[in-house]
Amino acid sequence: MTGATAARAAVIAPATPSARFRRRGLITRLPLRSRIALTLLVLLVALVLAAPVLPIPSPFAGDLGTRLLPFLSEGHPLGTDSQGRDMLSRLLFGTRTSLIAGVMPIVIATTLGLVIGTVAGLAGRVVNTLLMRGVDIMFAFPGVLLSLLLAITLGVGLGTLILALSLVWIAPVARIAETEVSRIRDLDYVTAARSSGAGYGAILGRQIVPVILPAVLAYATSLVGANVAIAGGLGFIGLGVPSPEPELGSILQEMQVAVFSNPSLALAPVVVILALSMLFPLVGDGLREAISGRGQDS
Amino acid sequence: MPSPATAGRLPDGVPLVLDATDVSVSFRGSAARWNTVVDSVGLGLERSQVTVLLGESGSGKTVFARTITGMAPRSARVGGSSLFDGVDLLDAPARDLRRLQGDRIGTVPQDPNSSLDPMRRIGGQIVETLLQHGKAPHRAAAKVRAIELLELVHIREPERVARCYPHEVSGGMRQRIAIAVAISCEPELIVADEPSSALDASVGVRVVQLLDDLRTRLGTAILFITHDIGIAALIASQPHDRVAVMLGGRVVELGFAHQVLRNPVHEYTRALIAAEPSADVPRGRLAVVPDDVRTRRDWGPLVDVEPGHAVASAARHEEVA
Amino acid sequence: MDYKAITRNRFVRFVSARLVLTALTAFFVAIVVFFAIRSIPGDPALAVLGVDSTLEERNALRETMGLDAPVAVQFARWIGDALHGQFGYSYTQGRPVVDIIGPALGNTLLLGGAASALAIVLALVMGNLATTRWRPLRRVVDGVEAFFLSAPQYTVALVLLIAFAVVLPIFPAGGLVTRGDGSPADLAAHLVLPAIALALAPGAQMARSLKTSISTLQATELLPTLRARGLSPWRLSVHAHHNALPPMITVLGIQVGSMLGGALFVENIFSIPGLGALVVQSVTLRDYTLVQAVALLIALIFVVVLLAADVLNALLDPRIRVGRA
Repeated sequence: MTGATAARAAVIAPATPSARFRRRGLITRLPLRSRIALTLLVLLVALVLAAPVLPIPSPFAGDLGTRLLPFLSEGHPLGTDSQGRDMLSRLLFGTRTSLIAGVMPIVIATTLGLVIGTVAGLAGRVVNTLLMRGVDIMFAFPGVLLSLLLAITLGVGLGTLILALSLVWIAPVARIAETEVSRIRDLDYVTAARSSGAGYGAILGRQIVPVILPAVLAYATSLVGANVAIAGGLGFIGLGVPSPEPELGSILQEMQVAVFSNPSLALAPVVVILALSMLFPLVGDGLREAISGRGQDS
Repeated sequence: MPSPATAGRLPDGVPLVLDATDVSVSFRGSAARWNTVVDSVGLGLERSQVTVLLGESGSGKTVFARTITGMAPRSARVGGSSLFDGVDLLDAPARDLRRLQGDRIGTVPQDPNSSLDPMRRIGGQIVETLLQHGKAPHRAAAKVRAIELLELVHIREPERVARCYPHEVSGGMRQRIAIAVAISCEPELIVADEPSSALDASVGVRVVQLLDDLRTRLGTAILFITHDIGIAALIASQPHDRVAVMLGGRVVELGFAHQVLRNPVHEYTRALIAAEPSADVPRGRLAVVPDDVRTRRDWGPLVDVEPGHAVASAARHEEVA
Repeated sequence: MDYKAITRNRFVRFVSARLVLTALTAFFVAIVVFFAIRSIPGDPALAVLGVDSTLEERNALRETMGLDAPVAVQFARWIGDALHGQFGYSYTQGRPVVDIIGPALGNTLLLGGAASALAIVLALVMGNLATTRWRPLRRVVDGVEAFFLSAPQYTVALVLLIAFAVVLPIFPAGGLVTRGDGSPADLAAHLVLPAIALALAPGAQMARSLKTSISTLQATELLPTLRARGLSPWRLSVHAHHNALPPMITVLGIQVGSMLGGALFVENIFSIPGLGALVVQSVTLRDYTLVQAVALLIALIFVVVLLAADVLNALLDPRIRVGRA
């Protein structure tokens, strides 16, 4: 390697330790509560994925003669819903749907938000202001309302639900990405790379993206929790996946009738939604702490 | 046997504004060990006298100054006594301390950016202190007094400045306003903690001159903390002004300003003064305080070397391997 | 130099800039709402008249509804009418939209107001507790805060309903007032559970903001300096809170949006006849005029509250009026 290329390589190599994203080290640096949350999540996902092969009744098979059976009934450990369908089965398959509706939009929104945010962060003042003001206005719109409107417009169904939810979350991700990129854009090693003649592509790929990616991903993980909650909410008011397809929100809606007669039945989907809404942020926050190497404790 | 407070000083019967004896301050460090930050330090402060507390950061000078005025950090363990008008400030209840602080003891903080509440107008903050300590019968009188105080610290257009918020005026002005707050109730003692360090050199010098001028006019005692020898020489302008050199929580040299600054005896003081950059020192010959001197902690008690001048004996105990 | 006039000017300039941004946002919101509703597949006239209506009847109704004009004209007409307080006619309820929205708006504002007050109290308590020296308490507060932040409002509402109105029948299970009793105490009892459900997440978010600003404050020398002036503990607390509150106000403004969204579900669960319930109702019944008006109203409330929070912030914190320092 000649002196010039060696010098250039040395300058392009990321200077901050956080840029080295060693997964093994990251997991061990997670705080205890995040590790527990991650384990629980993995277990839950495994359970949900295994649902089709588990010895449980079909979520669609309903016998009106056995409506609203309580917990620990014969053959129905979690009881049955208002149409006699097994609650455990409904919950497992419903969680699958809710997870898809929860994760997919975040994946889409993160990709798009990352692009927008990075472009805004690297671009000149005019483009930055234009993009970020647009993002701000989108951000100002109450998320639930926006997804509601979009869901109405696009019609019910899993695909349109995912689309509607994706649009809602682009703004927060773009904001975070832009903040991070702006923060490191003026740091010495980026300026050094620029002055050594490295192209924008190289800078983007080797210096900027690897550094901001962990923070953005940690944030996105937390967003999944909020998104699952909103997806459930939309299902709750009938804008989610159409029945008889099970979905946590619509299950909750159906179980509202049981609130006065058999409240524990209504609590079953509540617990699942609560669990999902809380486990993801726990993991996400833990990731953020592990990445920045600082604790939250004041 | 002379106490550390009186060591190095001719007894002349002048009453002390503040008499600190054998003050020690420790903090709990890691593994439940206590770190001593101030180690048996004594000091006597007189009216119209400047006492410079000279030392680098970490020498314990700020902690000492805060402690002897009754503002030790809550997590610290404090020993000794600090008598102010017969009251031991290290032992007094919070209510009594509050009455003294801001009224008879004024403080000029180091950082001009956090010495004033950014949310309230400048005039209002001076008025608040005056009213708290009952120095004005009502708000209108307090406002008048506030303007007078701003004039006293050489602020032009005091009415306009009084209506401003702290972020609307310069750092030097903020420091002078902090001084105005400190002297607002005509205190007997002012503690000035590196008041010029955060300012440009020329601005800082003017602030120091202001303090010097004020102590002559108001007869206040000043405890002036600094690490800068030039500033120390500047503030200690009167023959009866004192300098105490602090190192590692102890006073290693104590005497009149002209004695300590011109004929330093202790090796640390000598190294400090020699290390002071000046136009006379040829390039490449700048002296530095040697590490072994700076990190020693086992200096002996203060011993008189001439009337009014005491130095910590360099008696070394058994060599530690 | 009249400094007071200049300061006032800066404030005025700040407010005007914010107003412009608000107006722009409101306009954008109106466009989104309008075109979203317009693009819903299906024929509103068909929805109103039913399948066994004739083509002529449907066309006639479409003309009355103004659906025959080009879309841009419809939009202009709608905006124009809205600015005059005319929000159209609800075909599913047979009343002008304003008559329907009015009382619903009042109920939602009542609920929102109660929830906001609760959230502020919650934030002050949790925020101050979170900065205590006693470590175990800090951890507990942090955990509770994390829980409040992530638990969806409708799940909390359901749990509260089940716990305190069904299992332990302390509070009424729904509605706004008990028949025959319109006293404030009765109203309050009905509002307690839904207000709590709405207040938890915003309260926790505001507590976090308060905690951060108190920590930032404690990292400066301001508090020891103020203490050195010999001020009373009460005055010190006022100073500290004055310094720590402005960011929290902004958070409150943003959180109102989350509360409005949450009201959708909470009003549904507790059967409170507010805007949220109205939205759900009109969406289910496909009453587009109503949906449009309600959606616009909710979004406008949110935008106006944001503006109010910004202005309040600038009033409280003199540094903001000057812009980024």
